[in-house]
Amino acid sequence: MEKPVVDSTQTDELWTSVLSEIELQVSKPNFITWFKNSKLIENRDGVALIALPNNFAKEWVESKYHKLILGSLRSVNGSTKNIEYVVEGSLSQKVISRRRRNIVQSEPDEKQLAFQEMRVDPETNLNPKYSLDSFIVGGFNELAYTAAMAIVEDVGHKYNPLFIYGGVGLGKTHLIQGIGNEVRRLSNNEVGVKYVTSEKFTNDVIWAIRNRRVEDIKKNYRNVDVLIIDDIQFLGGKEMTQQEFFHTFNALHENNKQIIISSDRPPSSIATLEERLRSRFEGGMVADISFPEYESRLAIAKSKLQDRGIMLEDKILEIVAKKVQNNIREIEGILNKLVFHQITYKRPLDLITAEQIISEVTNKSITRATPNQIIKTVGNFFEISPNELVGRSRSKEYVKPRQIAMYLLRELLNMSYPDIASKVGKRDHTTAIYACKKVSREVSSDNDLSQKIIMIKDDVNKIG
Amino acid sequence: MKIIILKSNFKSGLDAVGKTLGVNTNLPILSNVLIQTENNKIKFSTTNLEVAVTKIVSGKIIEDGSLTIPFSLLSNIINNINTERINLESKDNNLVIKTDNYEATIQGIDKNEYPIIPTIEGEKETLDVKTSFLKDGLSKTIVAAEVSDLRPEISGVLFWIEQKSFRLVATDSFRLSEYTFPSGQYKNGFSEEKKVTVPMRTAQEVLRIAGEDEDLKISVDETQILFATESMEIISRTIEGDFPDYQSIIPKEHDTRVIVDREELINGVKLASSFSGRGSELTLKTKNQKVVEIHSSDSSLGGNKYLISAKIEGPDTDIIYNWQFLLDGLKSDSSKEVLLELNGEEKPTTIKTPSGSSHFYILMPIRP
Repeated sequence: MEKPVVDSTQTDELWTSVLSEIELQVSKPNFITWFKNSKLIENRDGVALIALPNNFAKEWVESKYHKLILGSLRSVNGSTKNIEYVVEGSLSQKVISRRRRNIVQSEPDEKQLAFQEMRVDPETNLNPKYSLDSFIVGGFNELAYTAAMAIVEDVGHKYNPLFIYGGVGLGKTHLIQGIGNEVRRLSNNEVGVKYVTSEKFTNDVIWAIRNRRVEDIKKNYRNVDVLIIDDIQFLGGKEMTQQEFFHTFNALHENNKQIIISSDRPPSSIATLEERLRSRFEGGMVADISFPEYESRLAIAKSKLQDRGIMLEDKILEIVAKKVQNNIREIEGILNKLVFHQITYKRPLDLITAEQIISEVTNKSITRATPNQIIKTVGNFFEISPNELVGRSRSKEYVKPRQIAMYLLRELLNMSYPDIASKVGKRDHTTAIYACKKVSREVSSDNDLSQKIIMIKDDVNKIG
Repeated sequence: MKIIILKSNFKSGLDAVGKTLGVNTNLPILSNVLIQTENNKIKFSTTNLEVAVTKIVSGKIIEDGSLTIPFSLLSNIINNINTERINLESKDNNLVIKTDNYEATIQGIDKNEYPIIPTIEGEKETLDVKTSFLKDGLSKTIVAAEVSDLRPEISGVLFWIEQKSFRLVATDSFRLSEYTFPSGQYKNGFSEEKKVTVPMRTAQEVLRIAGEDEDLKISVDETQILFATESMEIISRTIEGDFPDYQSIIPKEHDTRVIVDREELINGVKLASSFSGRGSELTLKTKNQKVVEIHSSDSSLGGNKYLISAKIEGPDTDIIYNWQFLLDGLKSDSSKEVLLELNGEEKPTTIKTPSGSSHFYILMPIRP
């Protein structure tokens, strides 16, 4: 059972009364220097944990005032038997100033550009470039967007948690960070928001366990009003992290704190995700972002160009929108190339050159994976072993993945049918032909299947 | 305490600790220097409660002891004494200074009232590096660190120590400098990765005080870093908060490559700076794959143009920079030629040495 988070007002009050006793016994300069910015973190099981702003204060207080503090504590709270001292740098006052020190440096020009990546707000970890204003809404993400807006209006009480999933480069991070930024803006930065990638969360958990600072995780992740966590599929198979996330989730949810999660696949498709987490994710609002339709792709391309203040012929944008179907990031990449070309050669880009550039890029995705790697990846996705996938069994649970594997070997590696058939269990080449045709047909009509294929392709690309 | 010390050693001790006095009016003892004897050496220490500097010098110890003395008064005396041998003796809480023809008594304060200088306890793991190498790396990076306190997590130099690499990184969000120590220059005794940001002040003190060719040991705990050599110890708080993940800033590709004589380019930048007016702007232009042109102008001053021949690959381009930032980058290395990798007028420019060494400087332009 989780111990309840210690009520901090109690300890603050306790410390205030201890400090007022100490103040009477210590000279004013000493009191101000050593005890200001000190804090009683907790007083549990007879041990008081006192935090000081720097090591000098810790050394001094520990060696000169230990008995005094202990006596004071015991007179207010008899159970205290001992004191431990730690340093918490965050307690020292942050002097916000533009001190120039000794360096002669003229004020940077207001047109001086800064590193994009560093405009992130260190407290929330949100990047200001992800705003809901710049988020293009279309049929493919309307549900997710509507849920997002509802949350912004009523944080913590509308859809909690919000689980958004979809393939790579479709705007998930943009949307979830957008919610965070909007909530901050509307509340004048009062509402506490924290954005974190699952990778960072995992690293933090591991570090905390190794260094026995699990309290830090609680402090960092539970003292927020909105927790936004990206790429939760990363937690699959990581027991300890899932455990910690479970506790974090509950602590927040119980207090109506908003949780927003993104993933590249729905909760049901995340392999080795604890059932209790899966059910919690599914208990809120699950919204997918699928592939943008042509109109949306065109609108996105236009919007990105507008941001950069550059003009390209409409016809060119139409080709981009037509050719790049699966990934908004790819659209951005191609636009960059086209724009660069136009700037460098100082001439408006013509249609033919544009087409050339676009086809160069779209044809570049050659997979570097081996057939065995593809088979293994498909197997992993469906949670069956490669042996079972290429094996003789004809039960449905193996046939489906087998056919998908053959389809991918054809699509990604352009292997011949006899080669494919041979690789996937020494079968007849007609089996391979049939499998590829079947999957190909189904992909265009079955959205769920096509999503799965995209996810598997992503997994394959991650190997290369 | 009773010691005999040479003036040069005394001065060296005072100079080393002179910049880390506390200006905390609540605790006047912080403007004193602590003088104490230990292991047959004389130690001078000062602290401002963020960093403490100790300088260790030789002398003749007749009687062990310690005392804290107002720094500026002491410093004034020592600077003006003209004999080599100086006798120091503590009598009650006074320091008596005696030479052949001079005697002074200064009121001091007992050591017990002086803050306890922290140590890094129990941590036996260190990174060992020669002071010259560390100073080289620091001087190349510190110039890019954030000067104000607006973004505390970058107001220092990041020391990033991994199993197989040791790097220093600094940035102020307009430029970034990274230095990787060649593996033969240090020995990493840490069993875990360490990522600590050292406050700029502290890094400046290390640069200023560390000797030329001494063995230096770096130790680290959760909130502090210690730089120790035989003749000095600097212990400082490290900055709370994570240094930003900067890897994504490093450009992976570039459009135009320029190799040009470094001194010439520095010259050009310095000349152009006189005409750059309030915005500190200058423009760097590449022409015809052969020439780099630096120009700047201001409506009230006039303008100038400087041409340098260069080896250029890639399309002609035109970029505006803050001349000081550009100069900092050019001066942070000393190879004869400098390599500039340009990425257009709104993306970062990288400055390196052509042999692709361990150091690079990335700079954001000024919007056209």
